[in-house]
Amino acid sequence: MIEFQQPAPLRLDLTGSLTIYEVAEAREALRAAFAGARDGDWQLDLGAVDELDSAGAQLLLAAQRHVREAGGALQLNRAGDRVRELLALLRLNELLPGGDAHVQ
Amino acid sequence: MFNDEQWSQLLRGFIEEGRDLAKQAEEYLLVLDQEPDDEQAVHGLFRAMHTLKGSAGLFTLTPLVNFTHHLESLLSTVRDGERRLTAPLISLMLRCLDEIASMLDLIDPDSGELPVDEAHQAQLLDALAEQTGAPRAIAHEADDAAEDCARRGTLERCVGCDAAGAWHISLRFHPDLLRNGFDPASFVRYLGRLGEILHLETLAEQMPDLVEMDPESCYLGLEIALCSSASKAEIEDVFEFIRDFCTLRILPPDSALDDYLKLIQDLPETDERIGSILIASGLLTEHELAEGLALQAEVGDGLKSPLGSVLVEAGMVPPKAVNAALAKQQSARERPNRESSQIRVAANKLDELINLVGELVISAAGAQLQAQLQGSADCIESSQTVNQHVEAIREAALKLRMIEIGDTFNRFHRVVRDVSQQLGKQIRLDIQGADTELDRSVIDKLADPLTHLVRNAIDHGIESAEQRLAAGKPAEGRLSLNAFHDSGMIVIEVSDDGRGLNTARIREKAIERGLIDPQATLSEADTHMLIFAAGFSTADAVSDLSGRGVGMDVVRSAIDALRGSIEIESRPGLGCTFRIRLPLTLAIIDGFLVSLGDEHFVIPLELVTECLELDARLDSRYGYLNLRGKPLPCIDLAAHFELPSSAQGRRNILVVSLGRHQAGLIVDRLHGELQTVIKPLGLLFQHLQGISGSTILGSGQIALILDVASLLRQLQQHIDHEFRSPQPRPDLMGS
Amino acid sequence: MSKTILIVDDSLSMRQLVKMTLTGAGHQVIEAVDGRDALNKLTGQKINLIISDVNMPNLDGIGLVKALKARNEYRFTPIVMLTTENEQSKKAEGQAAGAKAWIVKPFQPQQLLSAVEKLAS
Repeated sequence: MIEFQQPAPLRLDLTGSLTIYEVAEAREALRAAFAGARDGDWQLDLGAVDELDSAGAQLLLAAQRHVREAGGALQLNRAGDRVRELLALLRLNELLPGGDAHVQ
Repeated sequence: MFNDEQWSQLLRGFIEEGRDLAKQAEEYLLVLDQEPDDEQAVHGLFRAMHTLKGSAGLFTLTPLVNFTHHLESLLSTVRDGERRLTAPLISLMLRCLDEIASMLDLIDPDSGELPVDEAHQAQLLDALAEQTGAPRAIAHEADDAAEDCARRGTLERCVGCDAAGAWHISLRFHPDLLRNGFDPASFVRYLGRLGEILHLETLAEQMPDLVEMDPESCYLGLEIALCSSASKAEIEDVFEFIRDFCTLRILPPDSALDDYLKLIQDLPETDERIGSILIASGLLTEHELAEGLALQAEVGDGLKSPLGSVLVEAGMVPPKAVNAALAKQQSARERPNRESSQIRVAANKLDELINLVGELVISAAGAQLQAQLQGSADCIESSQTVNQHVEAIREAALKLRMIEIGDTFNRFHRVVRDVSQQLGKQIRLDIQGADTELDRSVIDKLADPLTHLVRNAIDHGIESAEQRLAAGKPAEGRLSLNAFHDSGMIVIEVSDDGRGLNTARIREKAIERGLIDPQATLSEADTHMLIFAAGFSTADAVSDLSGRGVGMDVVRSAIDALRGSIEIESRPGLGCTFRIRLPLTLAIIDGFLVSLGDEHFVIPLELVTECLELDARLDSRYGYLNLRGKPLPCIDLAAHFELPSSAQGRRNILVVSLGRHQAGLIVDRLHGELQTVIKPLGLLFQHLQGISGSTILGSGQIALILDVASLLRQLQQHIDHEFRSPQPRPDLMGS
Repeated sequence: MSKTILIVDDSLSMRQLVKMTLTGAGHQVIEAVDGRDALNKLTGQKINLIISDVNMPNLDGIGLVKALKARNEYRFTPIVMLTTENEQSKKAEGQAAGAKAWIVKPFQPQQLLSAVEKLAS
């Protein structure tokens, strides 16, 4: 189960799990959100995300690329321990909280 | 597949092989004792244990497998340069080799059972573990792998090692991976338990844009550098569940490649196929081989790329590995040729052959004699040809029995090491002439006397380090074994640079024991020879090292039994040399035939220096002749053996030399040279002095073979007796 | 991390072995005696891994896999099948149905634990 909220332009709050079960739905929500302002500097708040798997990480990566292609940026904020653990395991540095600044 | 008998035979073969390997291992260890960095010895030693373990496994001799496994593991750390073989470790390993040797002896070839002394083994292994600080357990938990990666190191270092020292793992996932409930992250987490992930990169090169992608498909790939002591198969095993959902490539660390190449070279020479060689080395997994073979078959056109190329192109093995495997294959193919240049022959079969050759020599001689009696020129020529061939066969047959004395000499490294340690002396053993060949039966019978002499030298001859230093000598004593051929005999010397024989004390003791008369004056050399007298011993305490005070007379009789002789050269304070002379063979003799009346005798040809005619005669059986101004002690053999001699006619003298002694043997007629087979004397005649064997002449007559050494001794005794109770000596003039 | 695992096997001793092994490692175990029982017990809770025997009455392992693929909340749940050597023919059938991971009986408890680590979501 996943829910998206957009409290502000260029900001998305995710709630729930982002796993293989949710990625299809999540992709739709992201696509819709990015549609108007792809080149913006987006903030994804993951404070309420309790679970992330590789499918979810892959989607986040795709999202970041999608935005970057248009000249924008994507930053993950308030990632909890489990989310951070998975991202670190896969050395997905661009996605790690701190975002683009840490691209290696 | 095999019946019981075949299996037994195979097992016996293994036991022999095992003994060889254990012996080789001991030799290497002793080399390493002197030269701790000798790479060849280290590798050889490892290989010996490795092969032994492997073969033992074939026969499910579990205790042997387990025991050798520990040694093999230890040696692999030595081979990798992580451990040095210290002296205590070498001593311990020698004891382990002894245990292996006794295990081999305990194997029942019929049942394949191997009863072991568990307690003793456990003791040895514990000592080994203590020395090396290694845990005894063979199996480890995957959990520990990450923590003590640095300590384990069969192949590489960990903590702080660079990417070049790590396994390279490459994964490309199938799009359906995620859909089927698999998550790459779980596998990466599990992989991390095998070691340290130095580097990881998640790739998503194939991933389409967010809008086009199928979020439930997997577009990811992984490139991982893993520092681990796990094997390739163990790493592959991590991904066992998803083998069908990814392309997996595992390459060994660059730095470890050399070790793998060595592993390939060290493989036992059993397998020939590239795939098998690579799998055996751990560089290829079974799964990969199946994949490689499938790829190979795919090419089509009936053309098959060599498997090695296929494997390299698919990125499964580094090119160097394939080259090494090819080289191994080549040597495995050549090996049968090399190996077939040597075959094992049962000793009794060889003896039988020699016997038959002996009979052949006699019958050929008989045939030649007949031909000569017949007078037919053609016959004579024919039988001469036969004799030439018989001679050649004889030479070749005797050569079969010859083995290098080096093996026997080399065993003494161990003896010297153990005994000198026991006594707290520093002694080093030098060996020369190791390639000198002797008849195998001679070598067998030499072992005991040599051991006696060596132990004696260590026990009594060579002083302790302090004493040597006080005497201005180097602290380390030198014991040397030397062997060489000299005028048809083989000479073996046991020398030391110790304190030499104490002539005065020997004389004292001999007088004490009534062996010589107090008035008698003996030369130094002759006094020294007294130590061979029965019951003689100057050791104050009976030491168990030199054989309970019995010692030298046992040596003497052993050498006599070999138709040999022994002499001593000793200089006080400088050292002592025992020199043994032996005939090259016990079986067939080159001799000089003589007769006394109707009786024929054979004298070993190598001992004969001249033949002279004799006009005069001795009044008694012993006497002296004037040989070119020097007195030559003589024996009138006819008188000695109490045979009627032909009263008329000229008699002859055969001058024989044995070592430094010369003597004349007075006989009736000389008949010239002959070769003939020695028939040993029956038990009844063993104690006959002066006769060492018999033979059958071509004429069918029996001739006795003279034991010259014994005759000379008797002559010497007589002379000494003369010295003790001086009597007017008959003086003879000879021509 | 503690996982929730469903063991489906008509053999009591097998279920007990698996339960003991996994709970010993800190996991939660739900037992079902056959495929039908399993489907009844799956009421929407999060299951990290399903371990199932092949030969079972009422609904066998393959039937269970098919059924699970058809249920929304379990369509991506990792499943590992337990099989004996003789049943290798079933493997093809099972794979076609969607069972992609297999463990051969008899197995060591350690194998079970590694499987959980590698496969549980």
